[in-house]
Amino acid sequence: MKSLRSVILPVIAVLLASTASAATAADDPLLFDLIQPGSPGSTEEAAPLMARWADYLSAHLPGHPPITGRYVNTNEQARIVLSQIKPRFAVVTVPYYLEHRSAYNFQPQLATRPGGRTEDRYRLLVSTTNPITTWEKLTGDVAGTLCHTPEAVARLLFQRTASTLPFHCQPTDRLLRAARQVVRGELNGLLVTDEQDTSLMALPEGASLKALHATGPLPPPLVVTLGRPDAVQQSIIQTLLGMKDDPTAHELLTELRTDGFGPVDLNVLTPLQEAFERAGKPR
Amino acid sequence: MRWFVLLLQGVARVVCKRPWTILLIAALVTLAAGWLAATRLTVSSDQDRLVSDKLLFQQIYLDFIKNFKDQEFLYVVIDGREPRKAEAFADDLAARLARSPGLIRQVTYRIGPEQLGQNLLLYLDMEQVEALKNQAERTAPELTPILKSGRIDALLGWIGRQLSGPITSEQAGAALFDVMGSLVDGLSQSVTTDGPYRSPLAQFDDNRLHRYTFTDNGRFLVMLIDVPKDYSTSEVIEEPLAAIRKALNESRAALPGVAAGLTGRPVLQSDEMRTTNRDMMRATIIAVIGVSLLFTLAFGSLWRPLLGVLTLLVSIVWTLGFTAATIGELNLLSAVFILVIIGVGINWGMHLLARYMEERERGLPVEEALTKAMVTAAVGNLTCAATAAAAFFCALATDFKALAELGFIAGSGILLSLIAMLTVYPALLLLYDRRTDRRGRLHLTRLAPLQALVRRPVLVLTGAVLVTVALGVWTVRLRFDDNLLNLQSQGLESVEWELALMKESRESTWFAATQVDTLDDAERLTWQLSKLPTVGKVTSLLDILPAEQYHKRQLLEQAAVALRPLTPRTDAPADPASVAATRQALRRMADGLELIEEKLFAAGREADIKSVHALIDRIDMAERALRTGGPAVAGRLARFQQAFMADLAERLDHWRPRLHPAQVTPDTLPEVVRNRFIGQNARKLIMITPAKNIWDPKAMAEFVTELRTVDPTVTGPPVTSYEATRLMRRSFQQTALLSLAVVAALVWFHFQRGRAVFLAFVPLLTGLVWLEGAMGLFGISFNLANFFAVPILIGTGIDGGIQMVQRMYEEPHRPMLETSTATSVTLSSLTTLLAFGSLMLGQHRGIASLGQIMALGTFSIMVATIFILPAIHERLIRSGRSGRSNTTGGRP
Repeated sequence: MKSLRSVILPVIAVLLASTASAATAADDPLLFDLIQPGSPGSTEEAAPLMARWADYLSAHLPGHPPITGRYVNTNEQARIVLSQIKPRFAVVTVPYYLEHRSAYNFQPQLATRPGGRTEDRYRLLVSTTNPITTWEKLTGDVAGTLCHTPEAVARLLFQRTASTLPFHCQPTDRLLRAARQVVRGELNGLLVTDEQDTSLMALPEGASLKALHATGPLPPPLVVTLGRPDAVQQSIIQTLLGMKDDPTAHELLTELRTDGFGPVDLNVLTPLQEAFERAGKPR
Repeated sequence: MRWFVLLLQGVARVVCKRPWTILLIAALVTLAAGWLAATRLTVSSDQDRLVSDKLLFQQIYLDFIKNFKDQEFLYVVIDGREPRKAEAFADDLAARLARSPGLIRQVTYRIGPEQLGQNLLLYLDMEQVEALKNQAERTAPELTPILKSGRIDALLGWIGRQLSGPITSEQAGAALFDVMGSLVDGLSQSVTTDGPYRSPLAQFDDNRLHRYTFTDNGRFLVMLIDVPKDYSTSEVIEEPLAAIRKALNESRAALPGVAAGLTGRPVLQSDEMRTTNRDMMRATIIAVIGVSLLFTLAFGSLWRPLLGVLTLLVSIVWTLGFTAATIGELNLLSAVFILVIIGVGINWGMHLLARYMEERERGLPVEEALTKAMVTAAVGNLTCAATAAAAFFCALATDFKALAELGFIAGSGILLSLIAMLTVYPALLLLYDRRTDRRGRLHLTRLAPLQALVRRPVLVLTGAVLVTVALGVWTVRLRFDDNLLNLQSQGLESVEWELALMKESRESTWFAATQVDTLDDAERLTWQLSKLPTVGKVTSLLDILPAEQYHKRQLLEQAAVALRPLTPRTDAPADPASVAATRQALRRMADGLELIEEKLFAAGREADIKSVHALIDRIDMAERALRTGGPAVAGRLARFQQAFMADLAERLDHWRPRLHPAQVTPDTLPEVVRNRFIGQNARKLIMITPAKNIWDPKAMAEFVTELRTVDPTVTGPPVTSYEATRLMRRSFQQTALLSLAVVAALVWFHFQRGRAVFLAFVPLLTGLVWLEGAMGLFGISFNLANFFAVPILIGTGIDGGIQMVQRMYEEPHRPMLETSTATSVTLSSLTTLLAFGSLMLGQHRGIASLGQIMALGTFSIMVATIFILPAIHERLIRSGRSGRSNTTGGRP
């Protein structure tokens, strides 16, 4: 049971801490959000980690009000946060950015480095027993956390609108369960990010899945501001940029599962935005 | 000296007239000596008795041993990187060792309920006790009605809910997973078959609650083994060690993949003694055979040299008998005396035989030749034996008891071998040559061919000066290596594990010790010692007595109050509705685990996902068993839940008294702990482990010096080793200087002429410079094993100089290398070289280095003797200052 212990202990640590500190920053002017639709856990569970991150940023912004961070993983939560509370910055997935760029005036400032990756790639996985060779022939249900932003995913992966896809993109918060359902034939396909794909391939289920279709290089999740950044936001961005080289930030970055933050590669993002717009126009 | 010549002439007359009487007396003395040695002589391997007990550090240590008994254990060090495997290995080994109760006194490697009794929970950390109390207070109100209902589905539902709720501690979380796994397994099994109930709570059995003795960093699991020690055997722990090694090999075979090894000072010393004994035995055999062969070849005769070897063996028996009658025991060092006698004692016989054969070649009859040889050779022999013996006797002036005893025994042995060579050997030669007088042809190898070289004395002497200057330069590179580990054989398991333990865990089997009267003193001293940079770990009763007992007992009492209402019902029935409820509880449990799995997936922890998924599979299996079990399932479920609740009730009753522990005091500790930490004088022990490699002499010196700033009476193996090392070094230096002075005095007494003394010392001093230069050149260091070679070389190396100068004065115009003396000097040097050089083949690096230095030194002195002295002599002849003749063989 040793390995089991090593599993439960970190989880317990999160659970324990989550009950200790609930959301605290309703009236705090310096709020930021980590928006990851479909990711597991809850705002409460992630609160301790977000608090550590916020504390780190606060410590680097003396003379300003304390910073508060929050994790949201549903579209509804994100809508409320972005439209009503208006955070000073947010970390969003690329599909979320593309879908809501205009609505919230997202200005990309930095790119994350999840697992050291400087680029992402989305894939459509099917069971190895599935005889089809092109995504156009795939029908039925395809699941994935990416399906929480179906329009952007459809345009990025297939250069079509979601409504014209031959299969139904079904959002899920349980990607692993969905992967097992694909293996068992209960689902027809799975949409995954590069990081999710790597994790799946390390599990026994990975051997029963194959990639039917993949995007080209995509930017990793982005740090965005709502509008042009002011001086405080500029300071926050500089602090985020410096985390990579700060030894005191290494443990925090490990917990955030990123190697740090870097500049956005506009050579990739700008054509992507154009492609997204193009794919939304009627053919 | 005249009296000695007269005495020798008298002895010679007796030998020639009554050889059989001499031999009879010798045989009787030999028998008596042999009997004495066999019945009274013992061997002591106790390393604590190697230094004088008059020394303060030794007195402190002996007092410590008296009060705390032997604290030197054997250590089995097990790789702890996979803790469960290491624990299994330790359990297996302990079980095997338990089969040899006569050889193994005690094995300490884990602590648990059997040692700690009802006070077990006091040994938890304060945070753990607080978590236990909080957990009890939080869960008891929820669990009370569940257990009162006696329904397993209710319990499973509660466990499932814990997966999404807060859990008070890591231990509680781990226990929850363990309970979940074993409970669903037990459930699956029980509803599938009608077999006996197997407790899912076995993980809480007392025999599963041990804490194993891992190093602080968890790198190794260390087992302490106490064995009886027999200091009358050379290896002290030979039998227990063999039993442990056998058990260790069996455990390795039973549990492959777990690295483990045996170490500790007793093991190291026993291994050292085994290799030393083997090396010494091999060296002795090689020396006897080599010396016999050399003797035989050089003298062109088989029996005459063999009779010399026989006489040598007789003198060894005499020395053993003499030792039995005087000291009564041989220690680790004095056992070397046999090699000394083989290497040095044979020389007297060689000188005698060489001179005897020379006189026979000149045509003298046996008796006359023997008398002449005895009178002339023995004068030189006497001074040589006196100088060699005196060199050894000088060791008596030191506080290093083992060295003093060696000096006494070896010095006496040299004198006894001289007596044997002046009585027994001539008698044997006489009897042999009387019978073979007409048959045998005498032939003595000579060094005359080298005389051609010596005829160019300026060349030889200039060469010698150049070599001396050249090698003299290299003496500045000579070093003293006092690292005891560098003396050991390479690849010894005990050495490798000791080093691994020190390097990878900063712990050691070596510890210094100090004593205090009260626990307050212990606390104060522990605090002071812990601050020292050279101290790795301080262990005392404070580590054994639970901390914050009062507060812990209060918390445990509160937990007891909270848990008091927990009384499981043990007769609850089960029906199909219960089966359905149980299935539903299992499904919820699996769902909760899936959520955890998703989080782990998002965190990229694939290995952990596999473990969780395995648990989900087990839950699915239990659910399936309930679903497909048919009508018998409800009955089986009822039996399982009743047995489980009864089991739980029994365990709660077993554990409840542990929530009311008594105050733990030094008096209530287990006897094994008390004996270790509380001395017979009621003082308390503090053990201090070094932070650095204690084998490094610098680290050892720093460690001891720092400890003494806190407590000047600190003792223990690091302190005694440090002091003993310094004492040995000092003793060797004293002995070397003293022996040089005594030898000089004896040589002066012999010659009573400055030039003769100077000439006799030329080869010795030149040879010593060459030796030290060669050591510097080849990077050979002096160490604690080979440094004693210097006084030995002084005592034996002067032999050639005395013999040659003696002959020079006896026949001043005869080229020296044409005399039998040059031959016998060369041969006696070669026998010394052979006897000690055979040690070079030893595996023990200390022994081998002693052989190396002795061989190199003897060779250097021999070369200096047979080239420099004859060259000087040649120069003196040419200048007409070669001295006056003195044919009596007495003082020139």
